[in-house]
Amino acid sequence: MSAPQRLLPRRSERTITATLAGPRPVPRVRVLRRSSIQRRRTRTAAAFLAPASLVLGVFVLYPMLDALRASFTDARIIGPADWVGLANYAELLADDRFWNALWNTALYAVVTAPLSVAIALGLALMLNRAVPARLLFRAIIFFPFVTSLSLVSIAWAFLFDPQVGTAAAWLSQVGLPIGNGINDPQWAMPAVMLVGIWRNIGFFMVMFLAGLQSIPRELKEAAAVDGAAGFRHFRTMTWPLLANTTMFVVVIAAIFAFQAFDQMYVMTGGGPFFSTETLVMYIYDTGFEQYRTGYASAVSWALVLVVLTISIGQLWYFRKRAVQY
Amino acid sequence: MRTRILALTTAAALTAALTSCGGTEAGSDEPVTISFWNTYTASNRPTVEKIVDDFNASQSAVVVEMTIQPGDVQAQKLLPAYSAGEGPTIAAIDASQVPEFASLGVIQPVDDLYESGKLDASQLPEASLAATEYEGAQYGVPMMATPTMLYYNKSLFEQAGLSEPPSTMDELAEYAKQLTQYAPGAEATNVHGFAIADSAAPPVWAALLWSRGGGVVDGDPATFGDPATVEAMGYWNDLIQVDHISPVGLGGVEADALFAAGRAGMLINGPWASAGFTEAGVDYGVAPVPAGPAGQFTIAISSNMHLNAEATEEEAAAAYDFFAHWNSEEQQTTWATSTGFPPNLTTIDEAALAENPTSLAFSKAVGARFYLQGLQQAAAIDSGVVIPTIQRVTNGEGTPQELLPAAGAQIEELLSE
Amino acid sequence: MSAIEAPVAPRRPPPLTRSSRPRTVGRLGTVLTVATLVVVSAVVLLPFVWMVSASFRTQGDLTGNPTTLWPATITFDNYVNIWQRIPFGRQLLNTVAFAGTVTAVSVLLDAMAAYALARFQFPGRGVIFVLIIVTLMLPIQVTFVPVYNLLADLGWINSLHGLVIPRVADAFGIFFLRQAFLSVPVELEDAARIDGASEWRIFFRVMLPLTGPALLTVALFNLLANWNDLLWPLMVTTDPSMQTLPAGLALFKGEHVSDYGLLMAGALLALLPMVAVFLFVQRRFIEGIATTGLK
Repeated sequence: MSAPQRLLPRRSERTITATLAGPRPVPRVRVLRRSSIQRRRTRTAAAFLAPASLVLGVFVLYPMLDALRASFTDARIIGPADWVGLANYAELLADDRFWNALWNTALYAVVTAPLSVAIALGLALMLNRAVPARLLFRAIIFFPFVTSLSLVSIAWAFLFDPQVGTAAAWLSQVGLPIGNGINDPQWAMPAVMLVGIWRNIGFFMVMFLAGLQSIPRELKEAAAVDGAAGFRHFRTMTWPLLANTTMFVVVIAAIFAFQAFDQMYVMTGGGPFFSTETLVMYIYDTGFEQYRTGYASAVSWALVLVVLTISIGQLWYFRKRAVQY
Repeated sequence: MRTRILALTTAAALTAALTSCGGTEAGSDEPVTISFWNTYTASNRPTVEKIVDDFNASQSAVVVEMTIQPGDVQAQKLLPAYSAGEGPTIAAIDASQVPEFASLGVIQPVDDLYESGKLDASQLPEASLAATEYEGAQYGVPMMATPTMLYYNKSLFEQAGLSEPPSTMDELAEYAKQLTQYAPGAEATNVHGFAIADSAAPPVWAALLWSRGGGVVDGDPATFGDPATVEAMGYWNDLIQVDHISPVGLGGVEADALFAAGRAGMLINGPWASAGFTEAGVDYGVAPVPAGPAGQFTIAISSNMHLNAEATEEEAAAAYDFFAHWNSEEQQTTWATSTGFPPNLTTIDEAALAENPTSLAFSKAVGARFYLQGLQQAAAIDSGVVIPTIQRVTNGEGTPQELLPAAGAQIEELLSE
Repeated sequence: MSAIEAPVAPRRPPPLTRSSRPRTVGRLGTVLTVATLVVVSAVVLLPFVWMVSASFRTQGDLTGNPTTLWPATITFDNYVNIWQRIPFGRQLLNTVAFAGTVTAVSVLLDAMAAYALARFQFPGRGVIFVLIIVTLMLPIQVTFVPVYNLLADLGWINSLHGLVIPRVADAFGIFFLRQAFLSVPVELEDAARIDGASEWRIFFRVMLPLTGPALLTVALFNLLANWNDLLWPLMVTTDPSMQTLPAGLALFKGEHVSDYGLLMAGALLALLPMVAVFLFVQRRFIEGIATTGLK
């Protein structure tokens, strides 16, 4: 991975400054009529954006809008669909099961997202240093993300089966009985949360590692010379410079948490009595078990609105902290 | 980059054009190809494949192309596929889904199959045929029909001094109490007399309620909110809470696991579990679910084959040939002896089934009936009201007196929509 | 990502203060770190231990003695049988073809889109960015039917292009690479512009090399997501000869009873290539940084 010498000036000629206050506008490099430069750059940008936008537009956005349209009808999975206006949305606002699912999902997100991000960051910091068997540890921690979640949830379900599970028996032997475990309404949600966190820490860790390694060495060395000690070094130097990555991880973590489905589907089926039913499970139930596509679409778009609000909030929060080199 | 996109799009357009005119035109020499979707994964798959292969090999006029998919995948694909014209000629679905599919018009009646004598309805399971009737027309051809029966652990029975399976529900309750070895906090070692699964399994609770005069909807001895059901649920719930005859909140897989591990005295389930129990080394027997004060009931389960509403006459005729093949004596004997399901044909000799005692045992059920038969709202009622209510009761979130009347009202509401 | 500037992984932890304690603290810190990592690893690996155990046991042993992880007798039957019970080899190839193609194309398309969003100012940039993120938010269960209908209308059911093309751009990759491009020093780009390079040249010769680790990471994630995807290939294809590994493995899951030994053996075999890819990517991370740091 060598830098093309002709296009880049020598290292000694470059100065790197880290700006901690907002992004700077891209400087104009030639003194010509501004508008023609701008137009040319817009065209170039459009060209770069086009292929991906086309695919996303046709195969993702369009179906999403189709679902939006369906949410205003009484569509069942097939057959005629009559326009019902906002009736589906009115229904979901009055639907206890919807609010229960929203509550469960929010609870799940509020617990798992920050925890998994924090744990992942800790692990990334640990594994960014010269720890023995660093690569092995990284691989192990990333393992949960490598398999299909629904398959590995089978393993979790067996391990923690209150009556015949291996882990349940071990815990009982060391004096930490799990009682009725995942069938206990109080423990079902913590159990699926645990699986969710377990699943994602490797994923977020890898992203943090990528971010950590993008911090220019000069800055780290400068801090070391200044005598910044361990945690202070992290808080004043690493953490702010990691802001781009952190923003990304936090936004993604929230979006993923709100879409939790696989482990609940396999391990608890949304039970006991809906205590682990997330929004996506409810959408699946209304859409594919009750065949009410219109209503399921409405619930889905309610989910999108909630997640979008949260994401925009997060993006706005981090906008002021964006790092530009 | 642009040229690559152009190339891709052109290629796509060309391929689409080519594939759309590549459909099989059955001339007089070419076999008719029909598609068959079902969900018989895992251990039943080899048997189903064998029967289909036998059919394809035995004649050259029809070729059946089968696609086996997991249950939830087929559930998601089937209706959209029908609607897009990509639906299979033959689809095997659970009997409970027939009202929905028939009312949507994606499957067509097959009365002429029976009328033509190609298949003799009198030899097929009556309950299955009744369950696949919709508005007076017959929509289904039996693929699998089985009751659930009582598995009992002979070693545990012996240890408790019991020699015979229970012959009444009261005896079952008594035996369950005797078989239970329960210590609080010892979930990993407790032995339970009767493992009751409340979800992801055949609806055992329905059979328990029916046997004592309770039920869920009209047609059952009583409906969900009735006092009889309250009493019945209270009876079984007390046995669970006080005598610990079953762990609370068992799912189907967990109940099977408990029995396979030799820690459940009894279990109500279908024949598919038997091979696993044998492999696990459990010494078990199979008996009919005993009679309660209100009668002898057990759960009937059936999946049937249905013909695509848009099938051409040729395809329909081809499908009929396959239906007749599936329900022929030779194939049904293979089916029963390989899978343990009872055969669809009532005329098959017991001696022929001797090599699979499970199949023999499951042919002898009494009082099998379908749960929530013929209701389009079946899924909504079961997973939306019945199962959560049972879970609430068994988890102590309310007594049957408190919860059932309201749940019954919810069911009425769902039915009236 | 300024890989050229990126630090060499230090052999010793950086000196914390100018005091004389660093070495002891460093060693203790390392011991604690390793201890923590070992505990974390043990918890993380627990389900996999179960999976390995289940794959080397018979079904009867697994269900008859569920509380122990140790097989009564170790059997290789599952690993042998899986090649016959499903066309494992062909499905593996199908998966490689599908996931590999999608990954290769999507990394390029995502990088291009991310570059535009990170480095160009144009009207509607914010809106497009938000729209792209929004595509991450709707659960696939809901877009299933509209996408299926769209594919059926296009006649793309049961075709390779139908399988691949809808997946060659993904919002996650665009979002991630945008972050990476934002971290590249603007000066480097501007210097190239001053030298008269065209935008394409800048993109291929400056931006992409500088974000190598990020590109590899996105490639890894896309590969993973598509490798393990069950629903999408099954949605598009019914032809058994086009089935991918997850679809094949799903055939061991029954509605009531599953072949756990075969299922777990298959799952473990299927994840080995992904682990190999991960190790490769991570080595490149470390190696890439190490070599460029020497310049």
